[in-house]
Amino acid sequence: MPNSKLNNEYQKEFFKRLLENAGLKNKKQAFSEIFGHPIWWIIEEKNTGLDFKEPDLTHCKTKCKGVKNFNFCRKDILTLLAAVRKTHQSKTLICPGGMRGVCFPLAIGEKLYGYFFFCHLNEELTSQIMGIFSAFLGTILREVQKELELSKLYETIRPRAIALSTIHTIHRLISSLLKLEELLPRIARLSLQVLRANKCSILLLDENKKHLVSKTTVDLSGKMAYSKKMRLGKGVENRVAKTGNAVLHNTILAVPLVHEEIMGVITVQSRIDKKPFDVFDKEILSTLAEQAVIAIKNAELYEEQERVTIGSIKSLATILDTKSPYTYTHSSGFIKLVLALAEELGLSEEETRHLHYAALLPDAGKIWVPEEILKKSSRLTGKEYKLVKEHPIKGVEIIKHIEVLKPVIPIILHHHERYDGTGYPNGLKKDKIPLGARIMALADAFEAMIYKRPYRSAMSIKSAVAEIKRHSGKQFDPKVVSAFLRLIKSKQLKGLFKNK
Amino acid sequence: MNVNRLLSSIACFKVVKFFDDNPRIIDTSKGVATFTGLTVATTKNILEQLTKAKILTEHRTPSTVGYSYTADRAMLKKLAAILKRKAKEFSS
Repeated sequence: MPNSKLNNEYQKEFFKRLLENAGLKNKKQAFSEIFGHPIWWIIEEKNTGLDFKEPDLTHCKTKCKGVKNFNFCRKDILTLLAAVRKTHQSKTLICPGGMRGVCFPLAIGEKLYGYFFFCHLNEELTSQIMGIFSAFLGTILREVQKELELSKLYETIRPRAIALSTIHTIHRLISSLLKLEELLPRIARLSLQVLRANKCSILLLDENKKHLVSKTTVDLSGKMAYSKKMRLGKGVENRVAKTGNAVLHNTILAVPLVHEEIMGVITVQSRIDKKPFDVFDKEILSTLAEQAVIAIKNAELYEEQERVTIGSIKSLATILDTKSPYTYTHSSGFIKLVLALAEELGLSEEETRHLHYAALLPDAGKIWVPEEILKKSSRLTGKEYKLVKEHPIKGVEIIKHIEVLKPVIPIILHHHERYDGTGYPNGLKKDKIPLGARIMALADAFEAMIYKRPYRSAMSIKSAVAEIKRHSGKQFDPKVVSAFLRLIKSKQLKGLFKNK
Repeated sequence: MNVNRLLSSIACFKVVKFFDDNPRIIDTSKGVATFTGLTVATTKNILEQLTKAKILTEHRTPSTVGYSYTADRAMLKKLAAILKRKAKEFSS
């Protein structure tokens, strides 16, 4: 916008605020009393030569009954205004009706905004009064100028502050998610919101960097979205993935997801107001993409770390089982039962993860128990039983040096406690036993019952369930038993266990 | 809750007007309170009511709750009409 147009708009706004200024309105009455109720004009400077806005002489025509030709009044006033304009000094006049008038410039520094003119003064104004009034006008003008500048600043800063707050909120919403299957739909929904679009897809390159795989699509129109895998080639998303350049068409906008190299593409389609996407939208999506990349990388790293942790624990369990072949490897059904119980009982993600680790090697300590005791088919002696009872403590000795397994220690240590306090190694009772250990105790007992042992044959699932029920409140936590029975009833555990 | 009744409160009107003027935003109760001049407690309560009325969508994580404006065109049209009417009522 040209400077002169900006200046004109500023001037207009300034003048408008001046007329609305409360200070000016409030003091008008007081000055009116001092000056003998003159006629007031506030005239805007038009910056177009002597083409002033015509002063309204209606009041003059009412007050100056003797004047025949008001054109002379108008001419005198305009001459006065021109003089004030030239000098930026206040000037007085005697109008054709014989009335006194005075004109004050409305100026701040070199900038002239208008004129404060009044006529029909009751007497000549002293220089002191003129000075006071000039100072008053100066104060009002500076107040209006400050107000206008603050307003302009507010108009500039506010939308930027709002945008920044949105970016910050989005960052908080996506950076706390560490699972890709939750994170990607969240990113897609947030992108739809910020761009007011109908559909968003996120595609990531596969390991070979040869295919784009659609990981999530959110479509507000409710259409079904199908997962697709595309070989890099033609098409908007593919072009973006190959070139690393964003694509902006009327109804589709796609930007690359880049972390050191291109890792995928995020695409939005169809604004809800049906307008085409523009450069502003592209900037927003690019900013979002940058945030998304960091969150995705975090989630991928976290998942990788999880895989490494689980893999390490499984390796440890395998080594222990190899050393001690009679420790009765827990079936995959055991782990699934433990995790199903955790979900049914509302354990947090972290608690469930710890339980999962514990379920992979609950009996690590049995490596300390002599093999002949482990494979004995007859009843154990007191001394032999004492050795078996020590295995949870021995198990903790094995795992306590592994940092990631430290939260798992209470579960492994107490998974042979009994709800009525008659278990081992510490004889803990009821809620003193960690919940994870109570869950493991039930799952361990159930699995032991339905699989063959050297000292007895396998029970049917029905009999094992009945046995669990019978020992509710004694060996097992009634809450855990109820959860187990709900799972059995809902058939969620069907096919989990196959008789060995 | 009926949308008209909800917007009869000037505080609620301010919040909805804020989202209507800035439909692309996603913000927390603290952010919305800052921009509307309301207290955080009042804003939080209003945001929850507006979410129930499907005027806003909630985005939740354990540490953060963000709110965004509806994308439903019918609702947007309805809200635009109500906001216009309420603006006149509150200014008079």
